Amino acid sequence: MEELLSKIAHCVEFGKVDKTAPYPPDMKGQEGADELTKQAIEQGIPAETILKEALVIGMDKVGVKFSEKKIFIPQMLMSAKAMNAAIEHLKPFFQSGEVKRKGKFIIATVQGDLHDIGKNLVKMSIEGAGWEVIDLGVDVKAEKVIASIEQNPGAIVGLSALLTTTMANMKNSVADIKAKYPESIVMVGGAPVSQGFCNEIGADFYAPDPQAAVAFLKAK
Amino acid sequence: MVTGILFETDCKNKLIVANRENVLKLLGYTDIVDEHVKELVIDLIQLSKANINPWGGFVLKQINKVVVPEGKIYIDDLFFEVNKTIAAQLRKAEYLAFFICTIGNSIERTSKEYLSKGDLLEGYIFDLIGSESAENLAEVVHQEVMEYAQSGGLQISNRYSPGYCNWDVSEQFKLFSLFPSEQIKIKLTDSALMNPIKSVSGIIGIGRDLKFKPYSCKLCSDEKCIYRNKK
Repeated sequence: MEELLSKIAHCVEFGKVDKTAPYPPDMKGQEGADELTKQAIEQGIPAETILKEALVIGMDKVGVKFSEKKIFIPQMLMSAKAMNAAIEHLKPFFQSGEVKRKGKFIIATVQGDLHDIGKNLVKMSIEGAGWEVIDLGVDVKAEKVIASIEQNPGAIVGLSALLTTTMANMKNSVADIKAKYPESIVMVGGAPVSQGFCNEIGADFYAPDPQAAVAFLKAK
Repeated sequence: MVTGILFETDCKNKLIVANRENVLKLLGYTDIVDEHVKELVIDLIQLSKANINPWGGFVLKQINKVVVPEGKIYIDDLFFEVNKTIAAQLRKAEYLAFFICTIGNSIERTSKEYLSKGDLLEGYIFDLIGSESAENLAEVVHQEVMEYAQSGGLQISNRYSPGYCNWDVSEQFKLFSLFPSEQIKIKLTDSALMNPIKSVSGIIGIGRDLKFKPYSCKLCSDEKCIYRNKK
């Protein structure tokens, strides 16, 4: 069992999606996260064990290497793709409640802003860290975020903005969320956002990159 | 100088699609490049060529005055709050060329299609190719402004865009008001976002005593700009 889990973690770390995937070249023709996760489930390894002892470990290593600039965004995206292939096999167990995730995270790009690549990178990293992510998409009004908090009590919120103009909407969204749910935790990020802006608008955490977001959630 | 009318850019036979080396740099590679990623970038640039539908143009306006301490440039009955940094670069300008250009929405759409089916790296690379190609198109427009200015014995400045050097992006509304809306292929959203997204807008100074100065990233506060210190 441990060997299989270790192989899955290795596939996630190095971005080996499935047997047909040409990347990474030194694993060409070998089974990837897709086939190995399927085998693990067929062998009766609990889905929660696969998540915590393979996927989370693989993505953790990716996060560390990215922070240390040992790998770049392409490798991180290949790892996320491998992780997604594995997660597909675990979805029924998430839905049945057999696998308990670390918590819920609501993510959205704020009203008026249509950019989603940065948001999606954060989403993938947080999913890979074992959290359930509720993605509200782009151009999201505060009311929609508040409605999602109502449906998912205790969920942590992440807001993204890429424009200086939509930073104003981020400020209003944080204010509206905090007015309705003062205890809610709101994380902010995006190219023009800074620690100073985060403090100014009363958000709880500024994530300059996906790894910082994951590290913050780990500490919760 | 003919002011107040739209000069449409001739984009035919111009190299607009992103350069491989620049895309690899934007992906973070400097010295050692992952061969798989390099091959992918080459393939996706090739695919992008047919997906670029360039359009651009500029409108010239005579400057009434540039007030550097206020960071303002006055034109007709408008003033642009470009910030002191940009105003200082343009203090000797007599005219401003307001320009807008776009590569269309095809690459952006392709990027989203790849991302939505889980091909994250391909989607991300297409997005970078789109951004870089839009910058190349802006360079083509810039060259056209330079040729027009030089034909009248005038010099040009570098180009400056709302959203950079602390020039608030909401000033896009004033900039776009100078263009005939029925003739342009870019629209603004309520939050001043250009649609198609892969578009560039900005200003270029024109004047007898103006000098072209390279960008100085030290003057800009955006520490995370992907173009920061780009050669």
